[in-house]
Amino acid sequence: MKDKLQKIKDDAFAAIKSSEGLNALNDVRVNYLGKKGLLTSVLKGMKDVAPEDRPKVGALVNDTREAIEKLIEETKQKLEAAEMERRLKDEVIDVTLPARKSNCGHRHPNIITLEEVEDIFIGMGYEVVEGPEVEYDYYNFEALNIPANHPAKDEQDTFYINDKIVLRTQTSSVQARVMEQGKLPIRIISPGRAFRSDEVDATHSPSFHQIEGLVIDKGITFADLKGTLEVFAKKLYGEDTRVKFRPHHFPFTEPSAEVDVTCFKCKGKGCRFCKNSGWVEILGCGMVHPNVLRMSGIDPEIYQGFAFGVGLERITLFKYEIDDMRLLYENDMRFLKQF
Amino acid sequence: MNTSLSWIKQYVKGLDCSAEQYKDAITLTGTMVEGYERLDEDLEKIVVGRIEKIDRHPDADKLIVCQINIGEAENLQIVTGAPNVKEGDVIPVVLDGGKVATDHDRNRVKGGTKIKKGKLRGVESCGMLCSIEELGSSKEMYPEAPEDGIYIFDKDNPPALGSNAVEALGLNDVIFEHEITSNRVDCYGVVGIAREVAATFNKEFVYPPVECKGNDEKASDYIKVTTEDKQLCRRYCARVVKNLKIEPSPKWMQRRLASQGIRPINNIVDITNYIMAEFGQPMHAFDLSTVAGAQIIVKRAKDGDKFVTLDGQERTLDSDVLMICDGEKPIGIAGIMGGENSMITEDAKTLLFEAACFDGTNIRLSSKRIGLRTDASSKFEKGLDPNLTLEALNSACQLIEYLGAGEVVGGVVDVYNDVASDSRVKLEPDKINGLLGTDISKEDMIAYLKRVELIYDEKTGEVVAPSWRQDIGCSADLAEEVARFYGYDKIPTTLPKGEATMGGISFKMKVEKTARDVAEYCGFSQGMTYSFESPKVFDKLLIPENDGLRSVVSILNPLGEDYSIMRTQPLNGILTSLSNNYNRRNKDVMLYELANIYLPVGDDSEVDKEELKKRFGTTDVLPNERMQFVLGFYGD
Ligand SMILES: [Zn+2]
Repeated sequence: MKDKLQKIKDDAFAAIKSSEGLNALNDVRVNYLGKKGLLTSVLKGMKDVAPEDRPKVGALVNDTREAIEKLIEETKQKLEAAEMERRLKDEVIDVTLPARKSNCGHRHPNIITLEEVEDIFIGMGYEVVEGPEVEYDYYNFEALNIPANHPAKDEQDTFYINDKIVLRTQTSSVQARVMEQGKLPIRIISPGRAFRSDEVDATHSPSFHQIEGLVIDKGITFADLKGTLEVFAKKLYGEDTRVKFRPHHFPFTEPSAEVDVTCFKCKGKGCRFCKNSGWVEILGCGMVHPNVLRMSGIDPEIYQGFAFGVGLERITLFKYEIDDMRLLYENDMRFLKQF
Repeated sequence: MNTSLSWIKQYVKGLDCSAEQYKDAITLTGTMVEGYERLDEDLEKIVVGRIEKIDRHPDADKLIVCQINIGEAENLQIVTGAPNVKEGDVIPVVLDGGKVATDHDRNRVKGGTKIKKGKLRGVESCGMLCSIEELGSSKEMYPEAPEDGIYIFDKDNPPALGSNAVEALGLNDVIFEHEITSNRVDCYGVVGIAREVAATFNKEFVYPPVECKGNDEKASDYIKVTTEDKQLCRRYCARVVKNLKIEPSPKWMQRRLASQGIRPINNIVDITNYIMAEFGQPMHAFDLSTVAGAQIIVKRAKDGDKFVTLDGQERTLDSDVLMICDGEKPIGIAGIMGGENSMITEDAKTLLFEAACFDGTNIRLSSKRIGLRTDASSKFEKGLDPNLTLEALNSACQLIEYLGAGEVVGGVVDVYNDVASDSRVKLEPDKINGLLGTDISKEDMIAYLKRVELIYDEKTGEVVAPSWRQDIGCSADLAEEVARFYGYDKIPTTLPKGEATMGGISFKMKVEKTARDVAEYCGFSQGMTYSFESPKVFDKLLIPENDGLRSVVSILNPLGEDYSIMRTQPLNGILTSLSNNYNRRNKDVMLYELANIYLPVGDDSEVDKEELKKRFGTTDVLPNERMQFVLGFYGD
């Protein structure tokens, strides 16, 4: 037994010394110390050893294992140091060259879409502003014509911090904050996180992003809203995109509408993606309700305006034909690399 | 809200449109159709036939050979294994080349199954006799259908031989699924939708007059109603029906209910369900003999009261729950569910019909606290029109008389605490055009509004909105009504005029953008994680017991403990993302995240607490939100 162990040790040492890289070294480790390695098989042969000799043999096996492990570790460090040196040399060369595309990281698809949307609106003279995600009930609901006990509060399944502070359920909360500053005209978009207590599934997430838009000026009309969103849809999804406005209801706008665009997958012919309708709903909008203007100190007899809210995840999923919203928050490299 | 086309057509004179046309048109005026189902989609060539003669099959014990009269010179020979038919039965027959809705194992299949002439054990068979399942429906909806066998038409009143059996069964219909917006409570009933349909297609809306005088007695001699809480019970109407005759309701009513997905029970239950479907007004029927002291008192429960609802469950109440009580005890939870102690049983003789208008918010909150949401409560919580109450009640009594289900007692006990008035809004055509960006004439506006019974009053220059349109309160509301029927698609598309504004992003956003560019240039990809996480992360991250990071903003009603605090550091997010990747055996992962963190603000003396309280109802300051940039990577 002792001879057998000595032989294993000698063979292992020779193999370690001759291994030329980290991978080869690892093969040696597996070969000798792994689950099916040579040393392990010796341990399995222990049942043939007389019981009184077992502790002695056991100790011998352990000594052998430790010796091999120690040499592997030392060799590994040497190899790694060499590797590092080699890489550093490479790096020096790398930096002088333009970055290769494949070495670059990838932006999150949500943000790629968001920046595209921002650029479209900045081009039309919109300022991008942000507001708090943990927000007073007042800005999230009351100032938007959703008084206490309004059923819309239930519908939106709000997360509460206390009875007057919520995680905002919509980026519309920024509307009132901007309006009450009294600087007119207003032409903003406001992207950011919003929260609703939906369980996670393929189309729902308790945390998501919205892009709110708000324009207030003298003589702003529903026709302007239509024109603006048509420009937006065509720039985002292509010139041949058609836009459909359907009457809808939101407490903070009147008249209100939901907007469908022609399905960009089938170009309106009907497919699985658009449930055969040829249309996909992308946003809600309307003329700012006079109560909302009044509450923020703007006279609805002089000023009027429109607002719209786009679900960022929704348009991102459509744009990239992603089926499952959960993918956006798992940060799997194989997913992120595709963008 | 599901509604059958045939029911809508009853109220819309001359409506003639395909399902697709209906869907497109009504969606564009604001009642979105989410989908529809054609009941006869997979049915073809199915006629009414009578079995004239039955012979045994010469070579099969379980088969019989039927000679069937389908109104033509020659009888049809059909072989069947159905156990429930006999000579003289009138049955639905699918002819050679026709289609039924199920496969050979009687499971519903998309596209249906084609039936062909053929030989069954050597005997020619030219079609098939149909069960209700093969016609695409169920025994639930057609209670008279046999458990397992061929549907047999009523022998006293059979449809004509050779006529369309699908029509005879009322299956030549389309069921539309409408999405109703919360401002249009009136559209939770078929009548409300029909009114919208009439306006959309510019047809006449016809509603048959509701009238039910009843006998010479007086309901007030049978029952006294007191509303102790006038705020929560705006109106309570009651009528009495005696000499009840409880039996199945007629087929036409059963079909109507079936089209709404409501199972027929008996004439009384069916009438209340029918009225709820038609008007959106829930009703309740009490057995009058169980109502002690011949009186109804509407009042709040006491904290901790227990009550058994008619589903046999014991419910715990509190002082914000409104109860319907008699002279001694509670007999129902107002607007939510009646009590077991007063329910109508097969041998009830006299009933008390209730149609009431309760406070929507109160019903909504009570139903949430009790944990009982019913068809009735889901209607009440939207806030019903108090003028609907009496209309619905009288209509129910009219049905009682029409069906011969009992003798309606004359008069109504009507307690109306807060009378709803029509709302009036000044019609300002210039303002409406100015809001829409249109050039619609005043006359056209008046005509559009009239389609939905918003009537222009010449004398005052106002538009009068009926009580079922509680959503009409200002000029913008009228603008929407005008726009809906003018057509959103006809409104021009323009861009805002006025002074040009400078667009752009803030310095903070520019910095974030640069951070993203640099990180990506260096090979890092952008991750994104939730803003809330578990309070256990601090131990995991070895953050000391008394570290400031452990002071957090917590969510009162989180989705679970794992999502219950707002993050105060971005580490857990990035580590979780890395470990997700590691577990999926992704090599060499380099991630970054721009993560908002939320730091509670202590007692900040610089803030004017008084002002906060006044504006936001709390003295609490919002947490500090800060963007953190974090990198995480592993691999070679
Ligand atoms: Zn499509």
